[in-house]
Amino acid sequence: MGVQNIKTDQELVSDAKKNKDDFAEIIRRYQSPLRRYVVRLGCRDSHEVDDVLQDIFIKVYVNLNEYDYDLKFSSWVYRITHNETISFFRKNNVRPMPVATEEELRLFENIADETDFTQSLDAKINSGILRSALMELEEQYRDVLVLRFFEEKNYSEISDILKIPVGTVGTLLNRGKKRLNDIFATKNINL
Amino acid sequence: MTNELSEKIIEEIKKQGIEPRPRWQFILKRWVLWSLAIFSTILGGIAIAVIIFLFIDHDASARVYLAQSAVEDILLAIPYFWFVTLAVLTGVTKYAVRHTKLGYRYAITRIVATVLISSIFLGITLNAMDVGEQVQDFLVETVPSYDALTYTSKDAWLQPAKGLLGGTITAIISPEEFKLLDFHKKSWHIDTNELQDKNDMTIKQGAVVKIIGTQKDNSTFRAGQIFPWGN
Repeated sequence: MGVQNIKTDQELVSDAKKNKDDFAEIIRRYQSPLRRYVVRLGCRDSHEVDDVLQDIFIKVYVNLNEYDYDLKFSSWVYRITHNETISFFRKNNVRPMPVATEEELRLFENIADETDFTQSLDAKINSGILRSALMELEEQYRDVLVLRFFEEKNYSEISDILKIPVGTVGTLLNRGKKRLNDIFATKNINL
Repeated sequence: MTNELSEKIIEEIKKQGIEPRPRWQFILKRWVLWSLAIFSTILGGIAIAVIIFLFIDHDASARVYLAQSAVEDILLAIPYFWFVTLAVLTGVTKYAVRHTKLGYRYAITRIVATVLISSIFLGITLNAMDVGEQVQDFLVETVPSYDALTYTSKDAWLQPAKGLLGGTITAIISPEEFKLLDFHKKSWHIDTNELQDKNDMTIKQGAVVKIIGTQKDNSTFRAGQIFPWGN
Protein backbone atom coordinates (compact mmCIF):
# COMPACT_ATOMS: atom_id res chain seq x y z
CA MET A 1 0.00 0.00 0.00
CA GLY A 2 1.65 3.21 -1.09
CA VAL A 3 0.87 6.64 0.29
CA GLN A 4 -2.07 8.10 -1.59
CA ASN A 5 -1.15 11.30 -3.37
CA ILE A 6 -3.89 13.84 -2.65
CA LYS A 7 -4.19 16.37 -5.40
CA THR A 8 -4.52 20.05 -4.65
CA ASP A 9 -7.61 21.97 -5.73
CA GLN A 10 -5.58 23.67 -8.43
CA GLU A 11 -4.46 20.34 -9.82
CA LEU A 12 -8.05 19.12 -9.83
CA VAL A 13 -9.12 22.24 -11.75
CA SER A 14 -6.41 21.64 -14.34
CA ASP A 15 -7.48 18.02 -14.66
CA ALA A 16 -11.18 18.92 -14.96
CA LYS A 17 -10.44 21.36 -17.78
CA LYS A 18 -8.92 18.50 -19.74
CA ASN A 19 -11.36 15.78 -18.81
CA LYS A 20 -15.01 16.16 -17.78
CA ASP A 21 -14.91 13.01 -15.64
CA ASP A 22 -12.17 14.49 -13.46
CA PHE A 23 -14.60 17.21 -12.41
CA ALA A 24 -16.34 14.54 -10.33
CA GLU A 25 -13.45 14.71 -7.84
CA ILE A 26 -14.11 18.42 -7.26
CA ILE A 27 -17.79 17.64 -6.71
CA ARG A 28 -16.93 14.89 -4.25
CA ARG A 29 -14.54 17.13 -2.37
CA TYR A 30 -16.88 20.10 -2.06
CA GLN A 31 -20.32 18.56 -2.04
CA SER A 32 -20.62 18.19 1.74
CA PRO A 33 -19.33 21.62 2.82
CA LEU A 34 -21.33 23.36 0.09
CA ARG A 35 -24.47 21.46 0.99
CA ARG A 36 -24.08 22.61 4.59
CA TYR A 37 -23.46 26.15 3.44
CA VAL A 38 -26.54 26.19 1.20
CA VAL A 39 -28.63 24.91 4.09
CA ARG A 40 -27.11 27.49 6.42
CA LEU A 41 -27.98 30.21 3.97
CA GLY A 42 -31.60 29.20 4.45
CA CYS A 43 -32.43 26.57 1.86
CA ARG A 44 -34.26 23.94 3.89
CA ASP A 45 -35.91 21.67 1.37
CA SER A 46 -33.57 18.77 0.52
CA HIS A 47 -34.79 18.56 -3.08
CA GLU A 48 -34.22 22.25 -3.53
CA VAL A 49 -30.77 21.91 -1.99
CA ASP A 50 -29.94 19.19 -4.54
CA ASP A 51 -31.19 21.38 -7.40
CA VAL A 52 -29.22 24.37 -6.17
CA LEU A 53 -26.10 22.23 -5.70
CA GLN A 54 -26.39 20.89 -9.23
CA ASP A 55 -26.71 24.42 -10.60
CA ILE A 56 -23.72 25.50 -8.52
CA PHE A 57 -21.44 22.74 -9.75
CA ILE A 58 -22.49 23.23 -13.35
CA LYS A 59 -21.75 26.93 -12.98
CA VAL A 60 -18.37 26.11 -11.44
CA TYR A 61 -17.62 23.84 -14.37
CA VAL A 62 -18.72 26.39 -16.98
CA ASN A 63 -16.56 29.07 -15.36
CA LEU A 64 -13.48 26.96 -14.63
CA ASN A 65 -11.38 29.17 -16.90
CA GLU A 66 -12.31 32.20 -14.87
CA TYR A 67 -10.81 30.75 -11.71
CA ASP A 68 -7.76 32.72 -10.68
CA TYR A 69 -5.10 30.46 -9.20
CA ASP A 70 -4.00 33.25 -6.84
CA LEU A 71 -7.33 32.93 -5.06
CA LYS A 72 -8.22 30.02 -2.78
CA PHE A 73 -10.38 27.66 -4.82
CA SER A 74 -12.68 27.17 -1.86
CA SER A 75 -13.31 30.95 -1.69
CA TRP A 76 -14.17 31.02 -5.37
CA VAL A 77 -16.52 28.04 -5.05
CA TYR A 78 -18.15 29.53 -1.96
CA ARG A 79 -18.66 32.79 -3.86
CA ILE A 80 -20.51 30.98 -6.65
CA THR A 81 -22.48 29.04 -4.06
CA HIS A 82 -23.51 32.20 -2.24
CA ASN A 83 -24.55 33.98 -5.43
CA GLU A 84 -26.44 30.99 -6.82
CA THR A 85 -28.28 30.37 -3.55
CA ILE A 86 -29.29 34.01 -3.17
CA SER A 87 -30.43 34.16 -6.78
CA PHE A 88 -32.41 30.94 -6.18
CA PHE A 89 -34.24 32.65 -3.31
CA ARG A 90 -34.96 35.70 -5.43
CA LYS A 91 -35.95 33.75 -8.52
CA ASN A 92 -38.35 31.56 -6.57
CA ASN A 93 -39.44 34.32 -4.23
CA VAL A 94 -38.46 32.14 -1.30
CA ARG A 95 -37.55 33.59 2.03
CA PRO A 96 -34.36 32.10 3.51
CA MET A 97 -34.93 30.11 6.69
CA PRO A 98 -31.84 29.93 8.88
CA VAL A 99 -31.24 26.55 10.44
CA ALA A 100 -32.18 25.44 13.87
CA THR A 101 -30.84 22.96 16.39
CA GLU A 102 -27.27 22.24 17.41
CA GLU A 103 -25.58 24.20 14.72
CA GLU A 104 -27.31 27.32 15.91
CA LEU A 105 -26.07 26.68 19.36
CA ARG A 106 -22.55 26.40 18.03
CA LEU A 107 -22.97 29.65 16.16
CA PHE A 108 -24.29 31.20 19.27
CA GLU A 109 -21.28 30.04 21.28
CA ASN A 110 -18.89 31.40 18.72
CA ILE A 111 -20.57 34.78 18.60
CA ALA A 112 -20.74 34.98 22.34
CA ASP A 113 -17.02 34.22 22.70
CA GLU A 114 -16.05 36.93 20.28
CA THR A 115 -18.23 39.66 21.64
CA ASP A 116 -17.28 39.21 25.28
CA PHE A 117 -20.87 39.38 26.28
CA THR A 118 -20.96 35.85 27.38
CA GLN A 119 -20.87 34.46 30.83
CA SER A 120 -22.17 31.08 29.93
CA LEU A 121 -24.64 29.66 27.56
CA ASP A 122 -27.82 29.47 29.37
CA ALA A 123 -30.29 26.66 29.08
CA LYS A 124 -32.94 29.26 28.53
CA ILE A 125 -31.66 29.82 25.09
CA ASN A 126 -33.27 27.65 22.58
CA SER A 127 -32.76 27.23 18.91
CA GLY A 128 -35.96 29.02 18.01
CA ILE A 129 -34.68 32.27 19.47
CA LEU A 130 -31.55 32.28 17.36
CA ARG A 131 -33.49 31.23 14.30
CA SER A 132 -35.90 34.09 14.64
CA ALA A 133 -33.06 36.48 15.52
CA LEU A 134 -31.15 35.53 12.37
CA MET A 135 -34.36 35.88 10.41
CA GLU A 136 -34.66 39.44 11.63
CA LEU A 137 -31.14 40.34 10.55
CA GLU A 138 -30.56 41.96 7.18
CA GLU A 139 -29.06 39.68 4.55
CA GLN A 140 -25.67 41.42 4.60
CA TYR A 141 -25.20 40.73 8.32
CA ARG A 142 -26.52 37.19 8.11
CA ASP A 143 -24.10 36.44 5.25
CA VAL A 144 -20.98 37.42 7.19
CA LEU A 145 -22.14 35.86 10.44
CA VAL A 146 -22.82 32.52 8.77
CA LEU A 147 -19.46 32.53 6.99
CA ARG A 148 -17.54 33.56 10.08
CA PHE A 149 -19.19 31.44 12.72
CA PHE A 150 -20.62 28.48 10.84
CA GLU A 151 -18.14 28.12 8.01
CA GLU A 152 -15.27 29.45 10.15
CA LYS A 153 -13.84 31.50 7.34
CA ASN A 154 -11.32 34.21 8.08
CA TYR A 155 -11.85 37.87 7.13
CA SER A 156 -9.82 37.59 3.94
CA GLU A 157 -11.79 34.56 2.77
CA ILE A 158 -15.11 36.26 3.56
CA SER A 159 -13.89 39.26 1.60
CA ASP A 160 -13.15 37.04 -1.40
CA ILE A 161 -16.42 35.11 -1.12
CA LEU A 162 -18.73 38.11 -0.76
CA LYS A 163 -16.55 40.42 -2.89
CA ILE A 164 -16.37 43.14 -0.30
CA PRO A 165 -13.33 44.83 1.28
CA VAL A 166 -11.83 43.21 4.39
CA GLY A 167 -12.61 46.35 6.39
CA THR A 168 -16.27 46.06 5.44
CA VAL A 169 -16.27 42.43 6.62
CA GLY A 170 -15.14 43.60 10.07
CA THR A 171 -17.72 46.37 10.13
CA LEU A 172 -20.56 44.07 9.10
CA LEU A 173 -19.51 41.46 11.65
CA ASN A 174 -19.45 43.96 14.48
CA ARG A 175 -22.76 45.51 13.49
CA GLY A 176 -24.31 42.10 12.90
CA LYS A 177 -23.25 40.89 16.33
CA LYS A 178 -24.51 44.07 17.91
CA ARG A 179 -27.87 43.77 16.16
CA LEU A 180 -28.12 40.16 17.16
CA ASN A 181 -27.40 41.21 20.71
CA ASP A 182 -30.08 43.93 20.49
CA ILE A 183 -32.58 41.40 19.18
CA PHE A 184 -31.80 39.11 22.12
CA ALA A 185 -32.18 42.05 24.47
CA THR A 186 -35.63 42.88 23.09
CA LYS A 187 -36.58 39.26 23.66
CA ASN A 188 -35.30 39.52 27.24
CA ILE A 189 -32.61 36.96 26.70
CA ASN A 190 -29.70 37.61 29.06
CA LEU A 191 -26.34 36.47 27.78
CA MET B 1 -25.09 9.90 -1.97
CA THR B 2 -21.85 11.72 -2.70
CA ASN B 3 -21.09 9.58 -5.72
CA GLU B 4 -24.70 9.78 -6.82
CA LEU B 5 -24.64 13.56 -7.08
CA SER B 6 -21.26 13.74 -8.81
CA GLU B 7 -22.36 11.10 -11.32
CA LYS B 8 -25.64 12.89 -11.90
CA ILE B 9 -23.89 16.21 -12.51
CA ILE B 10 -21.22 14.74 -14.80
CA GLU B 11 -23.97 12.95 -16.72
CA GLU B 12 -25.90 16.22 -17.03
CA ILE B 13 -22.78 18.04 -18.23
CA LYS B 14 -22.19 15.40 -20.87
CA LYS B 15 -25.86 15.19 -21.88
CA GLN B 16 -26.17 18.93 -22.37
CA GLY B 17 -22.75 19.15 -23.99
CA ILE B 18 -21.67 21.77 -21.47
CA GLU B 19 -18.12 23.04 -21.91
CA PRO B 20 -16.09 25.50 -19.83
CA ARG B 21 -16.36 28.98 -21.32
CA PRO B 22 -13.18 29.78 -23.20
CA ARG B 23 -10.52 31.70 -21.31
CA TRP B 24 -10.41 34.49 -23.89
CA GLN B 25 -13.94 35.56 -22.89
CA PHE B 26 -12.82 36.24 -19.33
CA ILE B 27 -9.67 37.99 -20.51
CA LEU B 28 -11.78 40.12 -22.87
CA LYS B 29 -14.13 41.02 -20.03
CA ARG B 30 -11.21 42.15 -17.86
CA TRP B 31 -9.74 44.09 -20.76
CA VAL B 32 -13.07 45.84 -21.42
CA LEU B 33 -13.45 46.75 -17.74
CA TRP B 34 -9.94 48.20 -17.47
CA SER B 35 -10.34 50.04 -20.78
CA LEU B 36 -13.62 51.49 -19.55
CA ALA B 37 -11.96 52.56 -16.28
CA ILE B 38 -9.04 54.22 -18.09
CA PHE B 39 -11.25 55.82 -20.74
CA SER B 40 -13.68 57.30 -18.24
CA THR B 41 -10.80 58.57 -16.08
CA ILE B 42 -9.37 60.35 -19.12
CA LEU B 43 -12.79 61.83 -19.90
CA GLY B 44 -13.02 62.87 -16.25
CA GLY B 45 -9.67 64.63 -16.68
CA ILE B 46 -11.04 66.45 -19.73
CA ALA B 47 -14.14 67.45 -17.72
CA ILE B 48 -11.87 68.88 -15.01
CA ALA B 49 -9.84 70.73 -17.68
CA VAL B 50 -13.02 72.38 -19.02
CA ILE B 51 -14.18 73.22 -15.49
CA ILE B 52 -10.84 74.90 -14.74
CA PHE B 53 -10.96 76.75 -18.05
CA LEU B 54 -14.51 77.99 -17.44
CA PHE B 55 -13.62 79.25 -13.96
CA ILE B 56 -10.48 81.01 -15.16
CA ASP B 57 -12.27 82.38 -18.21
CA HIS B 58 -15.18 83.69 -16.16
CA ASP B 59 -15.41 87.47 -16.46
CA ALA B 60 -16.49 88.77 -13.08
CA SER B 61 -16.43 92.37 -14.34
CA ALA B 62 -19.70 91.86 -16.21
CA ARG B 63 -21.61 91.37 -12.96
CA VAL B 64 -21.00 95.02 -11.99
CA TYR B 65 -22.88 96.23 -15.07
CA LEU B 66 -25.56 93.59 -14.66
CA ALA B 67 -26.02 94.60 -11.03
CA GLN B 68 -25.56 91.00 -9.86
CA SER B 69 -24.34 90.02 -6.42
CA ALA B 70 -21.13 88.01 -6.06
CA VAL B 71 -23.16 84.96 -4.99
CA GLU B 72 -25.43 85.24 -8.04
CA ASP B 73 -22.36 85.56 -10.23
CA ILE B 74 -20.70 82.48 -8.69
CA LEU B 75 -23.89 80.42 -8.99
CA LEU B 76 -24.14 81.46 -12.61
CA ALA B 77 -20.50 80.61 -13.29
CA ILE B 78 -20.58 77.08 -11.86
CA PRO B 79 -20.42 74.63 -14.80
CA TYR B 80 -23.13 72.29 -13.52
CA PHE B 81 -23.15 70.26 -16.71
CA TRP B 82 -19.47 69.39 -16.30
CA PHE B 83 -19.79 68.60 -12.63
CA VAL B 84 -22.65 66.21 -13.41
CA THR B 85 -20.58 64.71 -16.24
CA LEU B 86 -17.64 64.27 -13.85
CA ALA B 87 -19.87 62.57 -11.28
CA VAL B 88 -21.24 60.17 -13.92
CA LEU B 89 -17.76 59.37 -15.23
CA THR B 90 -16.46 58.80 -11.70
CA GLY B 91 -19.39 56.43 -11.14
CA VAL B 92 -18.58 54.55 -14.35
CA THR B 93 -14.91 54.25 -13.36
CA LYS B 94 -15.86 53.07 -9.87
CA TYR B 95 -18.18 50.45 -11.38
CA ALA B 96 -15.50 49.23 -13.78
CA VAL B 97 -12.76 49.05 -11.14
CA ARG B 98 -15.04 47.29 -8.65
CA HIS B 99 -15.80 44.63 -11.26
CA THR B 100 -12.18 43.91 -12.12
CA LYS B 101 -10.59 40.78 -10.73
CA LEU B 102 -9.56 42.21 -7.35
CA GLY B 103 -11.44 45.51 -7.42
CA TYR B 104 -13.80 44.42 -4.67
CA ARG B 105 -10.93 44.44 -2.18
CA TYR B 106 -10.83 48.24 -2.22
CA ALA B 107 -13.30 50.42 -0.37
CA ILE B 108 -15.60 52.50 -2.58
CA THR B 109 -14.41 55.73 -0.94
CA ARG B 110 -10.82 54.80 -1.74
CA ILE B 111 -11.65 54.03 -5.37
CA VAL B 112 -13.67 57.24 -5.80
CA ALA B 113 -10.93 59.33 -4.14
CA THR B 114 -8.24 57.77 -6.34
CA VAL B 115 -10.33 58.32 -9.49
CA LEU B 116 -11.06 61.94 -8.59
CA ILE B 117 -7.45 62.73 -7.68
CA SER B 118 -6.29 61.13 -10.95
CA SER B 119 -8.86 63.15 -12.90
CA ILE B 120 -7.85 66.38 -11.14
CA PHE B 121 -4.15 65.88 -11.87
CA LEU B 122 -4.93 64.95 -15.46
CA GLY B 123 -7.32 67.91 -15.77
CA ILE B 124 -4.71 70.37 -14.50
CA THR B 125 -2.19 69.00 -16.99
CA LEU B 126 -4.68 69.07 -19.87
CA ASN B 127 -5.77 72.60 -19.01
CA ALA B 128 -2.13 73.72 -19.06
CA MET B 129 -2.10 72.40 -22.63
CA ASP B 130 -5.26 74.46 -23.43
CA VAL B 131 -7.30 71.29 -23.90
CA GLY B 132 -10.10 72.71 -21.72
CA GLU B 133 -10.55 75.72 -23.99
CA GLN B 134 -10.27 73.63 -27.15
CA VAL B 135 -12.93 71.20 -25.96
CA GLN B 136 -15.20 74.08 -24.93
CA ASP B 137 -14.83 75.83 -28.31
CA PHE B 138 -15.24 72.57 -30.21
CA LEU B 139 -18.47 71.71 -28.41
CA VAL B 140 -19.88 75.22 -28.80
CA GLU B 141 -19.28 75.04 -32.55
CA THR B 142 -20.38 71.46 -33.18
CA VAL B 143 -23.10 70.73 -30.61
CA PRO B 144 -25.95 73.23 -31.03
CA SER B 145 -27.50 72.76 -27.59
CA TYR B 146 -24.21 72.69 -25.69
CA ASP B 147 -23.80 76.47 -25.53
CA ALA B 148 -26.86 76.76 -23.33
CA LEU B 149 -25.33 74.37 -20.79
CA THR B 150 -22.39 76.56 -19.82
CA TYR B 151 -22.07 80.22 -18.90
CA THR B 152 -18.88 81.70 -20.23
CA SER B 153 -17.46 85.21 -20.41
CA LYS B 154 -18.69 85.30 -24.02
CA ASP B 155 -22.22 84.61 -22.78
CA ALA B 156 -21.88 87.45 -20.27
CA TRP B 157 -21.03 89.83 -23.12
CA LEU B 158 -23.86 88.67 -25.34
CA GLN B 159 -26.57 90.58 -23.53
CA PRO B 160 -27.14 93.72 -25.62
CA ALA B 161 -30.53 94.36 -24.05
CA LYS B 162 -28.73 94.62 -20.70
CA GLY B 163 -26.02 96.85 -22.18
CA LEU B 164 -23.25 94.31 -22.74
CA LEU B 165 -21.94 93.31 -26.15
CA GLY B 166 -18.73 91.58 -27.23
CA GLY B 167 -17.25 90.41 -30.48
CA THR B 168 -14.79 91.10 -33.26
CA ILE B 169 -14.57 94.42 -35.11
CA THR B 170 -15.00 93.52 -38.77
CA ALA B 171 -14.92 96.95 -40.39
CA ILE B 172 -14.35 100.62 -39.48
CA ILE B 173 -17.06 102.54 -41.28
CA SER B 174 -16.21 106.05 -40.02
CA PRO B 175 -14.65 107.66 -36.90
CA GLU B 176 -18.10 107.30 -35.25
CA GLU B 177 -19.14 103.85 -36.32
CA PHE B 178 -17.88 100.33 -36.97
CA LYS B 179 -19.18 96.87 -37.68
CA LEU B 180 -18.96 94.16 -35.06
CA LEU B 181 -19.56 90.40 -35.33
CA ASP B 182 -20.71 89.12 -31.95
CA PHE B 183 -19.90 85.66 -30.53
CA HIS B 184 -23.09 84.29 -32.04
CA LYS B 185 -21.93 85.45 -35.49
CA LYS B 186 -24.51 88.24 -35.59
CA SER B 187 -23.45 91.50 -37.21
CA TRP B 188 -23.92 94.79 -35.35
CA HIS B 189 -23.64 98.40 -36.29
CA ILE B 190 -21.81 100.16 -33.43
CA ASP B 191 -22.41 103.86 -32.87
CA THR B 192 -19.49 105.46 -30.99
CA ASN B 193 -20.84 109.03 -30.84
CA GLU B 194 -21.31 108.79 -27.08
CA LEU B 195 -18.05 106.97 -26.44
CA GLN B 196 -16.39 108.36 -23.30
CA ASP B 197 -12.83 107.93 -24.59
CA LYS B 198 -12.80 109.04 -28.21
CA ASN B 199 -9.13 108.15 -28.65
CA ASP B 200 -9.67 104.55 -27.71
CA MET B 201 -6.91 102.59 -29.38
CA THR B 202 -8.82 99.31 -29.11
CA ILE B 203 -11.03 100.23 -32.09
CA LYS B 204 -9.29 98.64 -35.01
CA GLN B 205 -10.30 96.00 -37.49
CA GLY B 206 -9.84 92.46 -36.20
CA ALA B 207 -9.75 93.49 -32.54
CA VAL B 208 -11.88 91.51 -30.10
CA VAL B 209 -13.66 93.93 -27.78
CA LYS B 210 -16.33 94.17 -25.12
CA ILE B 211 -18.65 97.14 -25.17
CA ILE B 212 -20.84 98.72 -22.50
CA GLY B 213 -23.67 100.75 -23.91
CA THR B 214 -27.30 100.65 -24.96
CA GLN B 215 -29.11 98.74 -27.64
CA LYS B 216 -30.83 101.08 -30.11
CA ASP B 217 -32.52 98.51 -32.26
CA ASN B 218 -32.14 94.94 -33.40
CA SER B 219 -28.79 95.53 -35.08
CA THR B 220 -27.52 98.84 -33.71
CA PHE B 221 -25.70 99.33 -30.43
CA ARG B 222 -24.60 102.65 -28.94
CA ALA B 223 -21.21 102.29 -27.24
CA GLY B 224 -20.41 104.11 -24.00
CA GLN B 225 -17.18 102.31 -23.14
CA ILE B 226 -15.05 99.91 -25.11
CA PHE B 227 -12.45 97.55 -23.62
CA PRO B 228 -10.13 95.06 -25.25
CA TRP B 229 -11.25 91.48 -24.70
CA GLY B 230 -9.50 89.91 -21.74
CA ASN B 231 -9.26 93.12 -19.70
